[in-house]
Amino acid sequence: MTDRTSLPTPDEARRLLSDADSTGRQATAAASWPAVAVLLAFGSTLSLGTLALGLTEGRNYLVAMAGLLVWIGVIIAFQLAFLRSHKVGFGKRWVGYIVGLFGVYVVSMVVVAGSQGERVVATCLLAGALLVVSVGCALVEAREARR
Amino acid sequence: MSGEHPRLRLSDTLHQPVRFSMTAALAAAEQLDFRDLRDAVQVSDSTLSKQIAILEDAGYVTVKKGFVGKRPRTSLALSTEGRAAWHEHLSVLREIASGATPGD
Repeated sequence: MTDRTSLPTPDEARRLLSDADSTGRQATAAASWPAVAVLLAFGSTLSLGTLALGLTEGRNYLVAMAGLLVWIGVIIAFQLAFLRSHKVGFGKRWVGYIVGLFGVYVVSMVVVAGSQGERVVATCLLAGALLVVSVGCALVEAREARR
Repeated sequence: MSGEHPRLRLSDTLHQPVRFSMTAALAAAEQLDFRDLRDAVQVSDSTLSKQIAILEDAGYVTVKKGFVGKRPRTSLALSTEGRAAWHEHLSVLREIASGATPGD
């Protein structure tokens, strides 16, 4: 049982509040950076993968597809290994990032799947959209990391 | 107003220094990895495990154990009850800090 006669004076209470604030910030200071890395890696992989798949055909298309899948596997492994701690609110933000990024990616896949190297403009626009969405998500998360 | 000194409303469980720091860290997170929490509060693994067990018994912390590959991973989060107790604890500290306490 705590000795309640020795519990905090106003000065001690202020120090405890300050400690609580700094401990909370310190504990989560590094938590967002793996997410930033994962978002940028997904963005660059999916964007360049879209370009490669949209501008190639035949065996080259399959090689590009294999490379894309390998990179996605590497990023997911990195995420599982390093994205361990989450700041308050991260879960909702993460769902938003993934829905945004993969929403654009699904459209990209539909377009590039039948491209056969012909839909150059659409491929470039979608690759650009993936770049913009992923960098936007990474910027939001990076701002959260610095709070 | 009851006239009761606010310190009597402080949580014994949360006021202990290591548990106070642990809860402060967990309150800022949705979940923390065991190692990240240990580094934040700067205690040994065994001390942290002991204090986690106390917070878990009080219903303030939930513990998830799993594996990533062959490596064990322990994740910790404040429960709803733990978050409410922490907010109440902080509000009592703010009351004491403001100096508006009866009988002082």
